[in-house]
Amino acid sequence: MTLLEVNHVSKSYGKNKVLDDVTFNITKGKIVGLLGPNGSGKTTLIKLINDLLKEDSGSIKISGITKGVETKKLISYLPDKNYLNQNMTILELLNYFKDFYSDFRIGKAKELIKKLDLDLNQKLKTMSKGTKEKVQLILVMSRKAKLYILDEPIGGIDPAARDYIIETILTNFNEDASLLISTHLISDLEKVLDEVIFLKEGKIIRNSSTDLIRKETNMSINDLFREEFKC
Amino acid sequence: MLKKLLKYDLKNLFKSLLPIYLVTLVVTILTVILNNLSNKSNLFSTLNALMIFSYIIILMVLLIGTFFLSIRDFYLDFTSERAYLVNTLPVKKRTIIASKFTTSLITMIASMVVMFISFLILIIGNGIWVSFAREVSILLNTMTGEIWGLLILTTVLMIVMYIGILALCYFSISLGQLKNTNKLGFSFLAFIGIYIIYEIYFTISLSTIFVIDPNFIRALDATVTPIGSINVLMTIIIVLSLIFTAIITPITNYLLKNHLNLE
Repeated sequence: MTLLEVNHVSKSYGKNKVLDDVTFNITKGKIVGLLGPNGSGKTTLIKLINDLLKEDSGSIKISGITKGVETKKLISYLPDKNYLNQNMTILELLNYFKDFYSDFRIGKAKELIKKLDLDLNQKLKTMSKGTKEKVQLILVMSRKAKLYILDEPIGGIDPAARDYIIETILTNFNEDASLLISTHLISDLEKVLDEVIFLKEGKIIRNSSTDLIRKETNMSINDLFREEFKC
Repeated sequence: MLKKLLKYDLKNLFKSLLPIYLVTLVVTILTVILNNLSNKSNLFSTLNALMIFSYIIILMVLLIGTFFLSIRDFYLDFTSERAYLVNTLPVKKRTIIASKFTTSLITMIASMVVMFISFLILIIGNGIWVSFAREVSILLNTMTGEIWGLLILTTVLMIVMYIGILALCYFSISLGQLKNTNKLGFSFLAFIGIYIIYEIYFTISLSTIFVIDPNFIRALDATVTPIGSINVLMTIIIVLSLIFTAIITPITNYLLKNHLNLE
């Protein structure tokens, strides 16, 4: 069953074409890597799916529904920035998510916060960058969403924290759901990816299952990425 | 969803406003104390003058600050990193906008209540409460229905005009966010442009009324009292302001719903 349908989507910023006729589908239960170098259009594509930008042409559907209020109930999105109100405490943030998302599992979130030894009454602004990112991830992964979209969740993070983040994603990811994860740190994620989409200068240059790619090219995804995008 | 948004929006704004409220009350009390000591020495008299000046400044900060914080809150929710959270909530844009209007209005009313309490402290602290209460009582007894009407209309006009200015600012921000760079600068430019249109709209609308019915003012003068004339004029301004708000707010909603630009 198709969960995400992106059909002939194009997007420009002024004269700069960021996405050019992008088409792909994601089916239920898959972990899909959205791979590409900086400036390839990954974040723009993710923003379009999350209705934070408007495409110039084409269409995007989630579970057959055109993006809007209803599709936001289905997507759990982690942007590549600190997007939470820094003046709020962890507890306030948990209640905020509980108030707005009916699929938010507050018990699960509290359990994960406890494992990090964090005080629920601690304000976000008093935390380190790494801890803030972990809290954001916990909030996003504590939803029982149909589609998780994570934009560079392990970018700019030390290897130990990277392991924690990957483990949190995999152990809390609802198996009925799909996960679209954008990254250029492929070696850390390669083993968990079912499919990959290679994006280069706004165009999809490869969209296939990881097993098939390895079989066809005799290369790991990481090596293929280096080959495809070498400067 | 509106109730939930209001809960968080109000909490967020009051977190910033409470320190201003506290400073207002402290400055008010200090003004009262220094005013009572001002006869004792030249130093106290000088300090009292300075404190009165500070008091006027803090009242201005209270009102302008409340307005500024409301606009800043809207701007951040549609252009900053916070926008990634607000705009991925399963909430209609018009609900978010309605929450912003309501919070801005509630916080402005709260700030005016703080200002009123501050005045009362000044009056009581300076020992003029009895004479003040007597004057108010006399005023209330002499007030006619027309004056009551004027007071009510003035209050309604202030609320409607404040909502109108908020709508104008929100519309400017919704236009400014369309630009990929310098969204704040473009919002400000849009505000200037729309404000000119706003003024032209009022001038043309009022002139049109007089052109359509040249006897309007004369008829007013002949049939109603001066206060009655003011009341009619205020009612017209209220209606014109409501029409303007009713035109630009759906456009703001359209732009934020269909052309949100978090590049």
